[in-house]
Amino acid sequence: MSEGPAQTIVLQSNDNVAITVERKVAERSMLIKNMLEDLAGSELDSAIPIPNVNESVLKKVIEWCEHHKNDPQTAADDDSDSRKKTTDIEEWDQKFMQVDQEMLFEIILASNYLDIKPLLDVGCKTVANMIKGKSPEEIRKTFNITNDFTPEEEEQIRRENEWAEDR
Amino acid sequence: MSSSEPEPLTRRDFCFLTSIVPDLPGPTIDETPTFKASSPLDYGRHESKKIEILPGSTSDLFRIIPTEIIVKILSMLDLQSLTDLRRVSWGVRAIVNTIPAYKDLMKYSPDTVRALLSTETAIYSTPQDILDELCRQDCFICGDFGPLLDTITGRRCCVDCATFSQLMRSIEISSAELRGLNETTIRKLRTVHTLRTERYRVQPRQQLVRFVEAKKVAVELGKARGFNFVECFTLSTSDHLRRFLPLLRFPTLDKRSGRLGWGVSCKACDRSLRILSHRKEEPKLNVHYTVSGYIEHFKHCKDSQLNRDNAKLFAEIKAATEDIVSRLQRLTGGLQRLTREL
Repeated sequence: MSEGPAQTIVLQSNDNVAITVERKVAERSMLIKNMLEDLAGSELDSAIPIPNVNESVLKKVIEWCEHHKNDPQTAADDDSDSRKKTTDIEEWDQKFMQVDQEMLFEIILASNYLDIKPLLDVGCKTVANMIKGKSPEEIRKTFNITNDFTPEEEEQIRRENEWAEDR
Repeated sequence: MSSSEPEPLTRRDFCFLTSIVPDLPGPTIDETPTFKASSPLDYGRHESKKIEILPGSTSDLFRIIPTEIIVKILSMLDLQSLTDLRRVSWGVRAIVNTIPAYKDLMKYSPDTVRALLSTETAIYSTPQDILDELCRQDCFICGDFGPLLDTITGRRCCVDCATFSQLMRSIEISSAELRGLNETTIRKLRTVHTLRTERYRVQPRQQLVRFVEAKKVAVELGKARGFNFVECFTLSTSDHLRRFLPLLRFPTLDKRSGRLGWGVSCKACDRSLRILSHRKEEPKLNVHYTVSGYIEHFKHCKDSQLNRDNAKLFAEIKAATEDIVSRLQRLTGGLQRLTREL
């Protein structure tokens, strides 16, 4: 493929900040990719509004797309090797996801809206790892969930799902 | 195709020629004395008590993230994490209960969930993993039909591989320790906490690891220390108890009809194997079939065909004899009447 000057487009966050990105990077988003394909031929001189995502989240998402711009497009969709650990995350993504919960949830929402499946997967895995192997009390603390079980109810549920023989 | 192909099996033939109870060399989890009573499972038991409520409006996770993404996240979790999660709040519990794979597994094979939770192997598999195994039929080692689930790998396996495959051999943690593996290396190995069994003599609960896995670690350790651990692992003769305690009788699920099948074995082959008394390369010990698998087997199983033909012949002779007897009775009755009249 002949690499001409990298084509760029402008995205506009919901707080009206215009961000210029390489087209290839933006096309990690299936939403944007399809939109650009629909617009093929017509001129792209105005910014594409992204109404659900603010500047800081959009920048973060673009950072991810930048790093993953050369990933094969559909490989992540292939479930043939589903037996490998579902919550394994590659190192760069792990570091990328070391953000506060609010940002993490925003990234998940944005990737869902922008239709970037691999990023949505990484976000979901990150949350799954925050739950995995934790006690109910730790989970309540992590996600700020109110315990509406009575102590008796909780104890009963615990007992019914454990092995009771040796106690 | 060929003219020598036997007549198709009737339902009656099928029942006559097969047995559904497998003759296993060791006790599986579901055969242990307290299996069901000790882990009742709460699924569906308390739901009617409370009206479904929104899961914690205080929580960003549940306030911000739409439910379908929450379900996607939770679907990545292992069975143990999900079970623990159901103790967090009524709302979280309600969401876990709606995960499709979890719901199906509870519906079709609660015994499997029970077995994984009670042997502490639920951390190794997601509900989807187990559901996938439930819907397939082949042993993960040899590919034949397998009527057992291995809780350590979460895979389906057959009786023959369970009995003889090196991959399915388990050793006690203490024995791995004796052979030089330390606690931290052992903790990295998949471990099953077996249930107490009364087969042979009372066996207490044991923590088992797979021999092959332990050996692999030992070999690596050995390289580092310049000592060969491999020789320490030699076959012991009394390990079939340990081979079967991590296993569970595992049905097959036909997703379209929702029907469970348990597989059958061929009575004729089982009998001839018992007579052989020791294992040869062929045939395999205690082979199990799906219904269609058995029908295929029947086409080649001369003993079964003979048994069926004999049974048919026997039934014909029996019917004919009964017919003759009843005719004779009628005849004597008529004769008696005739004598009286004379």
